[in-house]
Amino acid sequence: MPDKHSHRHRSRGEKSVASHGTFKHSAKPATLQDVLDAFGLKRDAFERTRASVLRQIRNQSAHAR
Amino acid sequence: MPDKRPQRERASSRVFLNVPYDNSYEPILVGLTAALVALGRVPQLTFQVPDGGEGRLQRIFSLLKSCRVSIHDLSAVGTPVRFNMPFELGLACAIKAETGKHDFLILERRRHRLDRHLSDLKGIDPKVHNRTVGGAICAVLEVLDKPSGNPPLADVRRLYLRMMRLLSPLKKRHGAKNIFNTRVYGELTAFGFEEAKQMGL
Repeated sequence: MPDKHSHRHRSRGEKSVASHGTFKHSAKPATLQDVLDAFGLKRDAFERTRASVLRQIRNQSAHAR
Repeated sequence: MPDKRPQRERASSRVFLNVPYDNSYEPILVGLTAALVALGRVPQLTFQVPDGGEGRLQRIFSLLKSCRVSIHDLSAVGTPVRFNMPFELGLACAIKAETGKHDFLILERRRHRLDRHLSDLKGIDPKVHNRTVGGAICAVLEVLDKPSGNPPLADVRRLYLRMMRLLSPLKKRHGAKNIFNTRVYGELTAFGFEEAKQMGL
């Protein structure tokens, strides 16, 4: 036997309301170049920063030890 | 080499982030960014586009329209009153209604707060992150999918921690006080992409 209470809830549209505003979106992953383009970054400058920052972190870790 | 992929394909991976530009929000922004890069998405924020004379409103509108999805974190909306974020959410609603080619996710601090403060959106469920990094990451992983499958939350948290470690040296390198700077945020995002690749995400 259907539950009267839940039927009343459905008739008020609460079920659809609860799921409204929820979505699922799937997309093909972007590339590193897309990110660099989006921020106007040059790949060689980024690679230089990356090498320098990683070296800095490694040195800090070595000092901490 | 120029990218020959159609504009539509590039736009589908872009996600507009409408978040408070507030120092206390930095960890949550890094968390959202880690989740997005782990899914192969490119975050877009209003500070990264040069003004170019079009004016700020036009710049925000164009950027929002170029993204298939937007995320609006209303958790910081309170006193002192700032209308920018609810306004940008309104723009996203208009783009969705007019084009049908836009989806938006609302983030909130507490359940039912949105019902009270923005009753026009009654019926649209925000994701509640309780102003936590983990909550923000979960919200993104729930609505956005990667065709090859989403990474586990624990891996995205690890990526977040790696990115947080990079933030301070990046700020120092660019003489920036916070993350809301095109070079700092852009390089952090690019770092995140490389780190995610190394982690096999």
